[in-house]
Amino acid sequence: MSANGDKPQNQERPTVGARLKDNRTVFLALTITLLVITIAYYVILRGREQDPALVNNQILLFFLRNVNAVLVTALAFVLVRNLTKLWFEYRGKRLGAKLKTKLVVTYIGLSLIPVMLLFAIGTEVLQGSLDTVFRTNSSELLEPGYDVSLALSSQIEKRNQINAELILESIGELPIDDNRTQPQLDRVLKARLGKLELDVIYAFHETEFVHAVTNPTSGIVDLPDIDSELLLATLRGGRTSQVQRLPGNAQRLLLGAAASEDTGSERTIIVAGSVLSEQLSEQTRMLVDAGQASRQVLVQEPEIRSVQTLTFLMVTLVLLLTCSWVGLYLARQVTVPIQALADGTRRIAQGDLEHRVEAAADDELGVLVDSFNQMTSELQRSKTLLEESNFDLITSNNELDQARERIGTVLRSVSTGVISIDQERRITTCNDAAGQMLNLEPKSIEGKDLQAALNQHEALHNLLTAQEETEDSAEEHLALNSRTRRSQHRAAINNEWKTFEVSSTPLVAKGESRGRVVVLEDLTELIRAQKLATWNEAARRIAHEIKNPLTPIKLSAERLLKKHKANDPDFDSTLDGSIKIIVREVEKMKNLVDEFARFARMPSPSLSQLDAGQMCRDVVKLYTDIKQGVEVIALTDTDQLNGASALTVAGDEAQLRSALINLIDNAIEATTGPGTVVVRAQRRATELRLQVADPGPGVRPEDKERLFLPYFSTKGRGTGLGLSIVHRIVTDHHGTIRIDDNQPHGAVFTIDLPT
Amino acid sequence: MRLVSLVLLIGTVGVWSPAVSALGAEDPEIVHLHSSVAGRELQASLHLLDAFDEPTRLRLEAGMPTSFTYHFKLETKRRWWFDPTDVTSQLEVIAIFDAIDREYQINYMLDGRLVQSRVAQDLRSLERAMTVIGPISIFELDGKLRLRLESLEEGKSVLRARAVVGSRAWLGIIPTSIGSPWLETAVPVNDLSLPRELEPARPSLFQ
Repeated sequence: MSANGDKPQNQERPTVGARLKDNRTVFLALTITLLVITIAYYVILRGREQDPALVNNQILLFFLRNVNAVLVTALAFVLVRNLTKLWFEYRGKRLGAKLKTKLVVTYIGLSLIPVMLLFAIGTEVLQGSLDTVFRTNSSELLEPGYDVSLALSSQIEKRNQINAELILESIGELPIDDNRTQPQLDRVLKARLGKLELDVIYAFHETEFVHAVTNPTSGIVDLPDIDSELLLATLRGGRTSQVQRLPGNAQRLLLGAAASEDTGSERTIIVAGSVLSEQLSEQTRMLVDAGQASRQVLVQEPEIRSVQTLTFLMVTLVLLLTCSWVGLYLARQVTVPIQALADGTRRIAQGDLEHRVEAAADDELGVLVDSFNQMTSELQRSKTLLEESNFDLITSNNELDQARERIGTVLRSVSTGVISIDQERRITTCNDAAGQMLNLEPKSIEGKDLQAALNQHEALHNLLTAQEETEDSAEEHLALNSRTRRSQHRAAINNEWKTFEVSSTPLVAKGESRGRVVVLEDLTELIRAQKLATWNEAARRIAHEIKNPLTPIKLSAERLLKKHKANDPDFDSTLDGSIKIIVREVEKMKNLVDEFARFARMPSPSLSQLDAGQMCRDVVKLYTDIKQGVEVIALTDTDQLNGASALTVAGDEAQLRSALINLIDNAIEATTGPGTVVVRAQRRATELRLQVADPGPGVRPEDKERLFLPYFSTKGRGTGLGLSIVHRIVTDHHGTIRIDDNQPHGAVFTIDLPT
Repeated sequence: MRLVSLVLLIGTVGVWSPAVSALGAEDPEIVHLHSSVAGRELQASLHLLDAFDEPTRLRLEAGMPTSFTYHFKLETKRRWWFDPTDVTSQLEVIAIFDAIDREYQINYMLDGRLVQSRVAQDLRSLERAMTVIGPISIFELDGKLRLRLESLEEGKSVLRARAVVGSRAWLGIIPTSIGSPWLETAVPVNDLSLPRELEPARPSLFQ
């Protein structure tokens, strides 16, 4: 039976079927046994109630012997089969065999010992009883009665033989075959009949009947015929006797016959008879019958003893067989479920969770079997779930491995440095490109704490610290979700300054921070190329700007030469006009060259500690009421740090002021309507931040990348060197500058200077 | 195991001992088997020895019916497919003692039909009546059987006889009869052609 709610049908039904089969076999065997016993008992009872000869019937003896043989065979079969099976199980050390052995031995012992004692004692008692019956009834009581009755008859018959001889003497030489002597013969016979107290006298001539007389009081109605055998025997032996039944009643006629001497002539035979009274005849018959019965019993004593012993043996064997069978059956009822449980335990221990115990039991063992099957079902279900989970896990792991492999391949292939940091601030990934950029071995920092890695690698420290400082706070970082923050930073790698674009993207899953990914882009070469391109552009623009004034100069000179050669009367006026043009254009060229020279010859910053807040406030004062509707304000921290302003920074005040003015000029120019230009100075962890925000239309994204290039202008006028000079000043201070969108509109220039 | 062995031993001894003891009994034997032809009948006579033993006498004295059964077969020494089959007969001699009349009633039944009864006054007469048989007509020689016998040479046809005086169970289980071995004698086929007046007189059943 299965244990859980969904019991499998193919496990429960065969158990019941097997049980029914067993029960049918047992019931059939018991029924047959009971039937045999009943029939045997019935036959015995009938035998006792009727003629004892029936008890001694060979059929009964044959029946009993065969039943006993069958029982002995069945008992031997049951015992030998089960004990042999048990022996092999015991030798094979099959689980549960010892318990089964104990139970079987106990049951059979409990049945064998009492039954054998009962048989031994019962047989002895039975034999004793039979001895008493045979010796007492037959020998001492019945036989004398039988002999007495026979002696009585014999004595009467002998007396009648003597009487017959006396009658023969009385007859003498009387020729009885002569009809004329019949009256005389009749008188003689009648006289002897009365004198000798006989009931009948026959006279024969040889075997021929001659005459007979009867006693009227004897009760003889029809004169019985005399058997010729009697007459022949009398002739042979001289005298003989016979008992004859009287026709019509139970009386017996005791005859004694004597023949005259054999003288060679024909002989006379006298038969004298006495009727035994009906009562005496009946008593004699009873005695004779009893004696005969006793003799029959004695004759068949061995068979009777065998019948009784075999009957007792049959009952004993039936009891023994039944007890043994029941004992084995009960032992099997206990041991089979236990063996099945043991076997089930072994198989389940070997991993066969499909196995179910199918032993049939209705008692506590059945409950145990059900519980075992239930446990197995639960184990199987758990195992199935576990296997499914394991399979899913393996699949997921494989997919993850593949994904990780792909990502790893991608990471190894890309030239961009990638560093991932988990929420525990531990570096989980550092690809080869990042290692090359930062001149470190990726494996040396993977798995390490971020702070430890930062302490170990200065370049990494500089970049990541600078990047972190660009972020407002950790909370802000989380709130930004997947928002990527980009910034450019410079770091010294192998004594060479390199520029990196550092992108930091937080990893957020299910609302929780899982760390972040830092992407490093080495912009050094790009910037170098951009510089080269910038200088090319600058050269082109310079050439163009120089070429523009040269044309009027050339034309003026050629016109003067022409007028001069033609002695044109307007030469003087022409000369005056042309010289003015030439001077004017040369002046433009001079201004152009001066401006470029100033940009090109921008000196290295002369660093000194300055108060950036004060500087901002001073510059903002210059723009008071500079444009209608435009207000310029300064928002600066006033916190103190180590006794000085928190906004103190090492820098060239003149250059920084120039840069700030340049940015404010652009902001005011971009602010077309009423608005406020905000100049902010604030202290961050390792840097000072200066911001100029305007509410103007902002900068298009495609222009943002080229905004700091020389000669790039969105205004269509000017030299386009303003923001390039600002960028140059900031980078000379090892700082960074970037442009972002202002909210709700406008642009924000942010300068971060290292402190 | 000793208990089982004891039970088996007791069972075996109890069941088989009567059978084993019966095996030692002496079997009877038929002697002087003769056959003769009397008109349309085949007659047989025989003498049975060692049948009237003490147990038989005790059974008779106790008034128990006791019977001897004589089986007869008429066969040819070389059997052909057209030979008559099942030419058998059996004579059952049943004796019972009447203790009151002190006489032995003897009935002769041929193939289940009572053919004669007689009374014996003593055991000697009874033994003779039960063991000395014939000549008695056992087969009617008529039709195909007679033709077949007439076609045979002398000595080619035989009469076989066997006496069964009781039964016992072999090994206590299988019933077997106590009887004599088969004995055969030649059928005088040449007498079949004798004139009727030369045929021997029909004898009594008893000698």
